[in-house]
Amino acid sequence: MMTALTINDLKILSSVSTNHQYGLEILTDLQESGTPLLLGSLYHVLHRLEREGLVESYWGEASPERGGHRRRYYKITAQGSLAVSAQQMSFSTPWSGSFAYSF
Amino acid sequence: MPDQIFLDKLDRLINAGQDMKIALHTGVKSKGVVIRIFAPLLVELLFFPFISMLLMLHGLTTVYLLKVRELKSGKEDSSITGSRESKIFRLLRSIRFFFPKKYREEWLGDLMEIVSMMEAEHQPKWLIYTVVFGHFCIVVYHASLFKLGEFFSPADASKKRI
Repeated sequence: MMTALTINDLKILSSVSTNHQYGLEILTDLQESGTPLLLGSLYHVLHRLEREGLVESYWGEASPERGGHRRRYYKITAQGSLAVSAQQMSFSTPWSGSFAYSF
Repeated sequence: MPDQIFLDKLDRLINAGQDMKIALHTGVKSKGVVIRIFAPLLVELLFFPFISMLLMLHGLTTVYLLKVRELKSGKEDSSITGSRESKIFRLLRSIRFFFPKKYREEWLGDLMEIVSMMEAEHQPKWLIYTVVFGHFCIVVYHASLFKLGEFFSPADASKKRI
């Protein structure tokens, strides 16, 4: 079954589709693309996407400027790529499928 | 007796010859003795006999240099004290248990990175504290309210989807 995605989900998935990124990098990407999102909201979305199997994460290195905490990198999964493609297709053909109307 | 690293630091201070105030702490935090000595000359003359006597009397084995402050400028030298963490980092560490475990490490890490960036840009302290407080509220909001919302009405959560 295809997973339904919000606009923010799509933007986050697009952000992690090219590079493996951690929270702050994703946030910077989103802000540069004009999506005002705060860290708390971002983690909430990322963890949900991970639960749904659309992204996967792994722990990176710790650094002094992070107070010794590790970075958690996210990357898109094959299922996530499929979901994004399917969603983009449905955006490009809005009146197809069950909404088609014939005279 | 004081360890070699401590003695080296003290030696460096004395050789610098600046007007300074030195606060020392011996032993365990709650049981130790805080000593304040003014001027390097007094440190040189009084420190070693005085601190040795204190260590013997209290049975203490360690000496911590708490603070070195130049009297004129009032600037603290954190590299000498050995505590490189800013107050905000310490504050964040102390409140970390308010957060759900799954958010904790990455959230604190990212927030500390933001703080480090802001400090590097010499942003005012009040602004840094405001940003930290804002993010703190948002994380608590999402961690609690959204979780409760999904628990009580899972159908509403799915309505937000396209």
